Amino acid sequence: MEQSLATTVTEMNLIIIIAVTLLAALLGLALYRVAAGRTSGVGGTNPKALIEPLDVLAFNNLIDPAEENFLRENLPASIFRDIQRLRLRAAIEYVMCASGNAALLIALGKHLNSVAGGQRSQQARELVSAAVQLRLLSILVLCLLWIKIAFPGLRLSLKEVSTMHERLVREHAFLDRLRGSEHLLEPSN
Amino acid sequence: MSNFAVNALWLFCASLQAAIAYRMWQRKNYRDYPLFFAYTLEQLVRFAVLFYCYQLHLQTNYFHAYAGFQAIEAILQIGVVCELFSDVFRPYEGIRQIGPSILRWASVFFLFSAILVAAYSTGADSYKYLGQMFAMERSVEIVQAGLLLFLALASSLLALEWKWQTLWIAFGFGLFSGVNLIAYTIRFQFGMSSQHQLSLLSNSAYAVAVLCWVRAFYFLPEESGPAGQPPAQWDVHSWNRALLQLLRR
Repeated sequence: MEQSLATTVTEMNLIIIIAVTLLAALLGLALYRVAAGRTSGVGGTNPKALIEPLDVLAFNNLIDPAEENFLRENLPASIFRDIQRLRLRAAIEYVMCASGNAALLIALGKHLNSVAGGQRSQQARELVSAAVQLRLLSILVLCLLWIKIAFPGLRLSLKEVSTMHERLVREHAFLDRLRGSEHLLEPSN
Repeated sequence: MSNFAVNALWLFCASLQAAIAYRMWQRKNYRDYPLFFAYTLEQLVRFAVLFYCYQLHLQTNYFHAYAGFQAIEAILQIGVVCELFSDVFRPYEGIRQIGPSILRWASVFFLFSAILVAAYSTGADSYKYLGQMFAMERSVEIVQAGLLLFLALASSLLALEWKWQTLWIAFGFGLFSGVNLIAYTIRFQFGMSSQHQLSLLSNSAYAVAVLCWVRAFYFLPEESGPAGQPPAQWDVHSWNRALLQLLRR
């Protein structure tokens, strides 16, 4: 009885040592990643070459629920699942690219905010906000798409999340102010 | 030899921290990092008191002073991590309120983990009070390391950029927090037998952390940014709308 208790205690202590070491190692890796991200940045490279052009209409077609329903109704279940998985994988590629572009815009916006003044600085801040929102949305959408890939037949919606997000956006009232920010990054005279 | 090394590290760290405090005062960095400034000052006072007691072999006084300073330090360290959280999220107005939420939930999670670890581990110290103190220090390190990990993960996911000083302050805290976490755990499990080696390891990690903080305030890089050319037109708003619509379906 006493021996088994001692064994359990030793095992517990070993688990704690392993968990604590893992936490410390993860912390080191995560901070290294942050530092690496900061030093790589976008400095010295041509941003034009880094931003990937993405067609939002093509993406919308890919995730169109009407098209999904049409395929669901007209294809055998197994073929529908295979095709749906391929469509979702393509959608994930799009979202990951959009997320990458957003990261780039955040870095660019931050830099412009620090060097520009007046209205351009304000616009740069708004662009950063929109890009951060896009990054946040990308994470949610990627989670949703991965779940859908695992269960292609599932009719899943994150309506609540999107409503919450919309409220957040409305509260900060920045979407309207973003309309004219396409010309933000053009050089000022 | 070990004693000499510990003394040397002690003096080395204290002189560097005095330099950090001076620089922060001179450049008014205490406005941006008030808790880190308070932490640095606390470390200087702690050094003066503990070094005095240590050199004069005032064991009881040393012990009480150590316990007292550890309690203050624990509060300040968690405070500095909160300060880093707020500093990383502050420039991004769209998600500014997410930072405190993440901090709140992560604090609850790691506090709970620290309590679990404390409840399920058994120490090897014959002197119970000492064992409890190391258990408490380990719990503080778990919360601190966990919060820093959460901050680093959240900011990586959202591609948030850290200020140079914030990054190096976090680096310093992450380093000595990680090493201390392991050191306190081993110390708690194996008792006095590992005391000297672990103390040296812990002090060395702290010295490297102080060097990180020196770098944060004395070696600021020249800000280099992208070339003045505009990037290709890419409509971030259409993408925001498209993803929102997808979530709404």
